[in-house]
Amino acid sequence: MSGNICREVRREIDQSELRQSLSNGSEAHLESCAACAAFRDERARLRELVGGLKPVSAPADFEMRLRARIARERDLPAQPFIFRFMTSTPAIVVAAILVVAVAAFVFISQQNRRQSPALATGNGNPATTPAPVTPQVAQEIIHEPAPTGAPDGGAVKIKQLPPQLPLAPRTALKTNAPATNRVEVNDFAMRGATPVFMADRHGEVSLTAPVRPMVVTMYDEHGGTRKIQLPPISFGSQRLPDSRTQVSMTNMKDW
Amino acid sequence: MRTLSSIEDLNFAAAMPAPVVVQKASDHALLEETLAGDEDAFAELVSRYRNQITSYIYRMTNDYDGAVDLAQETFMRVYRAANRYQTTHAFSTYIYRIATNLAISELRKRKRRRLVSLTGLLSGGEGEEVRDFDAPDERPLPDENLVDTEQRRVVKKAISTLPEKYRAPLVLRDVEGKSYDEIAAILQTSEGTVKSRINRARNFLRDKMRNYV
Repeated sequence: MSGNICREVRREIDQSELRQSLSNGSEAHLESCAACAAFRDERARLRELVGGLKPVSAPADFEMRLRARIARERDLPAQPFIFRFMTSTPAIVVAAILVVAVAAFVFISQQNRRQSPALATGNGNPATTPAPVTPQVAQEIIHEPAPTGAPDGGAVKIKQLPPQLPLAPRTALKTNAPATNRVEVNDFAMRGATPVFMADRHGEVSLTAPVRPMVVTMYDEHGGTRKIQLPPISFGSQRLPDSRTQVSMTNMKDW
Repeated sequence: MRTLSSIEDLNFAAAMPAPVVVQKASDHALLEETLAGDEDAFAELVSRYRNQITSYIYRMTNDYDGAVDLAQETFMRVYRAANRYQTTHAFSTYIYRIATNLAISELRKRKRRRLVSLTGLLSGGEGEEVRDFDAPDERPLPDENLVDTEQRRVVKKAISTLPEKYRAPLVLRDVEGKSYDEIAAILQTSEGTVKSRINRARNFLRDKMRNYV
């Protein structure tokens, strides 16, 4: 209880005027409480020290300088609002915001430019979807080992592979296209790629140069077969015409 | 015809006009006259408050030249915004509020400058001498020409180290002698807050001036 009384008395001491007498109850408390009495003396001394600072005076030319300032300000032509705004702090803030906005816009546009257009066209938008690419027809050449005792080294079968979709760019993975429109992307670092050969011109078939004599079997649409025997072909320093059998459309003995 | 027996028989009292009692115009009236273009009225306002405002700002900033400049700026703001002045508060409250805001702005600017200077010091060379970038104004002031004791210097220094939110109410109360409600109006806060801050400020000063209290 005494603590509460002391607190109240000290508050009264703090809020009273300097050297002002306190309420009767507080005065009675101060008679009996040495700590509170010491607090009052300490506060009085402190306030005398602070209040003892003599006030300073304004310089003698204070009014003259002030009048000069007022006159100078009055003589200045009234500036238009836009000029006053441009030299004010809000204008600096607005300019800073504009600079940041432009920088952000440039940064974002640069980021978008680095990415593939597929990122933007992944939702199947007809206006931006790239033109469909015709699947290329690939052919697989199968080397058939020659039967034991056969004179030729083996046979080659040319088989048309199912059409493949063209490779999609890597960025297609990032699109939000529906599953039906999504282009499958193969990562050939993980598994081997299906061999794809360039399509030949009409009526031409490209073959890998055989290192051994080989037979090319051709099938027509009625089930008939034709075989062409091909000698080994080298692209090295050998003289090709001398060491191989000439194959031509007119060479009937090979048909 | 009556003859004069002495000089006291000459009674001029009736002929003399009654002594003129000059009615002192209120601050509000002076400001209204200023608005009407009477510059003498404004000069009268300035003469009433120039010393108080200069002294108050000086106690807040501890820099006499800066205090004079800020006092001038205070009167300039009063002059510019005379048409916006509302008579809901006393003029003294109004002008002290302007002075307080300017003084606190100056203290914050100094703090920022000190921060920048410290940053420069930290980034400087190792041999660079550490300088005091907020050196107090040591020139003698008009009131210190006669007596400038060590005790006063300690008090001034202790006040200048107070945080600004404690410094303003303490100076207004213990130096300027303002009442609590007036201080609350100047600082635009509650009376309870003012009392609390003054109490804390005094405790702070007591710790700073242990040898003198």
